[in-house]
Amino acid sequence: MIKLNNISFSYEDKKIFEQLSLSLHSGKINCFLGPSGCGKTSLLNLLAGITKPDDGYIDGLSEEIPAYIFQETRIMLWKNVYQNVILPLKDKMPDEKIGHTAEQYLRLVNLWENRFSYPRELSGGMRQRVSIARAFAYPSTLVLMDEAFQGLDLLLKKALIQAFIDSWKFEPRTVAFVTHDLDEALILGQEIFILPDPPIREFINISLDQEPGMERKDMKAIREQIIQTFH
Amino acid sequence: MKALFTRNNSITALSILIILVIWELLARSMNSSAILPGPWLSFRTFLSFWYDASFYQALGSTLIRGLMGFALAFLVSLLVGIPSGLSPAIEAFFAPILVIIRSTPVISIILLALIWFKVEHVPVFISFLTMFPILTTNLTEGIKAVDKGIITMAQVYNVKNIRIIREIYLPGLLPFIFSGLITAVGFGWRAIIIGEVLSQPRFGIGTGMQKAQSYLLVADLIAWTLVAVLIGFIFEILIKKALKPHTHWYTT
Repeated sequence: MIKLNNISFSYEDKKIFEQLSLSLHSGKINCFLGPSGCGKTSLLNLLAGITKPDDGYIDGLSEEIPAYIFQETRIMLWKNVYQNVILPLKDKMPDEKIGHTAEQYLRLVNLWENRFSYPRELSGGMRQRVSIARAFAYPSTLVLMDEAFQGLDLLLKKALIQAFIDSWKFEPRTVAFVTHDLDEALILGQEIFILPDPPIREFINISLDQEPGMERKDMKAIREQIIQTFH
Repeated sequence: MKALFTRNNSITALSILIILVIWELLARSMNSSAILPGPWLSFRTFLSFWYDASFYQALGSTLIRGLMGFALAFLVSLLVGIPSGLSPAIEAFFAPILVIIRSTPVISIILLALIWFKVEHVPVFISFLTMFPILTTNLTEGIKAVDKGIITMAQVYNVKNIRIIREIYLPGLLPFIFSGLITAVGFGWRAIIIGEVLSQPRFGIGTGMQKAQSYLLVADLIAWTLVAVLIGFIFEILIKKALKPHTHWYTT
């Protein structure tokens, strides 16, 4: 289990976290909901090991293998869809398993037919699906996702969220997902952490004992409950 | 291969035709092939070269010098350009050296090189100094242009450093190496020939030019020039053929 203990962190002289303690729920989709610029990306970077906290420590991180779905996709323009997905798999599994795994996840995100396409031939939504396939094809135990559905129209967003859910259900792992979009949180989150403006010292945690999906029950009450917390 | 006579191609053909006509007219008005031979005579001289065994010695010597200068410049530019792209301190260290090399007149370098080096090595040295700063600057800029976000991504995914170099830095660099090579090789061939004219090695295109000039064999001089142009042209095509397929993803 990943546990943040008294984490303090500043970014460009701005205090983001102050003595924050928080536990991720293993094997669940942990959704961090908060306003833009509240330091959600900083949280993911700490979990990915890209940055270190100024103070405090994170338990259990060394046992985790992180994968990251970045907001700006970060796929390589000189590699086709297939090559982008297999780069992180190289040196970590035998060749035939690489091919098999990549195919599985590219089919899940509906890109197997486009596996030879280069990023410049793809739409924004397709690029983000490459990034999702890459994160799940990788033998990760912790998937970090940063506002991955932003800037897409509703239909594309739905397809992308479905691709994410299908990939996750295929092989569930701990997910830390940050968003400012309440609807995304309500579709995906199993544990919703509502973060205030920085500096963040505490948060509200709402547990939803439901599988992620578009057709969840009793969401109206939970939505009301979350909206209440913003006032 | 696209159609041979596209609109642009016909304009190019027309332009060449006009140049040839002006050349012919000038030659006729001079009325002396010893001063300015016409295009046809020059071309015939050019063709006659290929029946002469010593021409191949000259051609071969110049080519070997060019390739040596190029290989040297390329290797050293890797050693200087890549660290410079990665570290601003290293870049700052090499900056004055590159500025000095770039702004020193080629002729000064040749005159000094004639004192310092064996005649055979002067053209190689000159072409090295001409190509090295161009290749280095392109490599440095290329390294700096590699998306740091992609590198971070690869590090999160625990991609081995050797793969980061081979699969991220190298393909990202290729468009820069490509444009650097095209420019550097263009200047490099001309530098080799200037070096040969002034240092007079036993064989070489420049040596041939120098001889033609001292015996006032203008048709030979022009024919040697055609050879030089041809070499530059062929190398540009070879580089494009070799590298273009790997830079197709790159659109600025």
